[in-house]
Amino acid sequence: MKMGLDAEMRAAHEAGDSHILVDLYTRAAEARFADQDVDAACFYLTHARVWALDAGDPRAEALLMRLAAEGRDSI
Amino acid sequence: MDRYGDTLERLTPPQGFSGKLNSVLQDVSKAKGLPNRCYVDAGAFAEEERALFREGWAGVGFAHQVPEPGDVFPINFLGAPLLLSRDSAGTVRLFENVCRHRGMILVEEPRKIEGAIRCPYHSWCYGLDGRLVATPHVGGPGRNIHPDVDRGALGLIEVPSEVWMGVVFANLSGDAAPFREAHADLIARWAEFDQPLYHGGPESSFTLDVRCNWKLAVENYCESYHLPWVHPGLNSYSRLEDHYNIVEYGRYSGQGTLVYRPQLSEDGRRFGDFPNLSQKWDQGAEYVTLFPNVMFGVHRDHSYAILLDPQNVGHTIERVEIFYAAPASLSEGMRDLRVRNAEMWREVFEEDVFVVEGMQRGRGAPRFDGGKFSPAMDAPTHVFHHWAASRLNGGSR
Repeated sequence: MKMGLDAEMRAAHEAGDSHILVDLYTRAAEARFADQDVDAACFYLTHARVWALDAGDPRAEALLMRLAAEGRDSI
Repeated sequence: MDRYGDTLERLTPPQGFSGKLNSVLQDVSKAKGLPNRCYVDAGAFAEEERALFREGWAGVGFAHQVPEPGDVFPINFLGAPLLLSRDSAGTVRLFENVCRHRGMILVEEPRKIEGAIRCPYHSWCYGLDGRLVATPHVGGPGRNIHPDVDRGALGLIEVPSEVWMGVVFANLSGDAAPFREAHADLIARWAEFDQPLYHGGPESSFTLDVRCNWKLAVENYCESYHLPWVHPGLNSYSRLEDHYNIVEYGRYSGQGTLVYRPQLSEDGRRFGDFPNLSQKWDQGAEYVTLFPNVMFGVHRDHSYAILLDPQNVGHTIERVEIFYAAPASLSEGMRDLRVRNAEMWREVFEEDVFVVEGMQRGRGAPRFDGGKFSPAMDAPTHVFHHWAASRLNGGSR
């Protein structure tokens, strides 16, 4: 599963598809939250938000809220 | 000159002109033109960059380069990386095109920004209004804030700008008087043309690459003295005596004509006029340089702007854009006339290339003393020299 996600991320980066990158980094973050690894989860959430900002994807706002709730960003 | 040569040239320290241009600041009957050094010396060019371009209002681009909200258009003007943008409210804005983090260039090609302007280096993100909205990992991995990084103070650096007659003017030093105050006289003179302009599209846009100092293009444009010799095609209907000088010391200069004839197609089609023009413009047209670097032409049915983009002391790119008075002039059915109008202007401007390039080579003559003006015919050129010399000598902006 992890290798699959990595490969999907590389392909999305290569394609420059920011919306897919939001999906993939959000999925990676959820997996780390499930493992109780908040630092790693916030690393991925950060990337999800950056790609959402890049694409004008409306999920950017919710991602910011979630990072702020973890004390990793400010609103 | 290659790029390496350009870099070396820019590093040449300016030598300053303090008081050395007084021979230019005489009455036109006694004055000399600017000395050779102002056309061939890299140090003089660097001094002009500061005194004539950065500390005042220079044309840097055109509003139609960012037609829709979200459009961004990178500009390199005199070595300064700028980013022309149209924000979500439709306002044209100008920023320095560099990230506040490490000074990386943000945008390399014209494009549409869907969300934020993302720096390709560490992904700091900016809104179209310039606000810094994301600083990923700035406090360590997954930590996007840091007490010493104040996002509110780190937005993109906005450059004062103003759109007039389709041209984006910028004050790169950031401390000049407001554009509409600094250029109130010409704005008032042409108030009748301060109306919506409609850019004619790709066929109304062209550039000329000329091997001359930028000032020679201005000097040639200002005066009508050369018209019968350099543009003999105009003699059949636009004689020298049909022109008048526009002489406004310290402000702008140029020439006007009393016999402008609009373009006509064989079947009688013509471009629509600006609404509510006074009778003066039925056959009148004016050609003025707003110093330092934008040369305008206004007519009842169209205007144009030539933006001079100096590449180095002896190399200039002239960016020509033609605008129409009526939206109907942009129709497919008028394309042939737009093409013909652009070709007519291109031919006129190309006819000038040999003289500006010839004068540039002439500035290599060791004993040329700046030249002798005709008091009757060359006053518009002297106005420009006087304006430049005043500023280079350390006078008011």
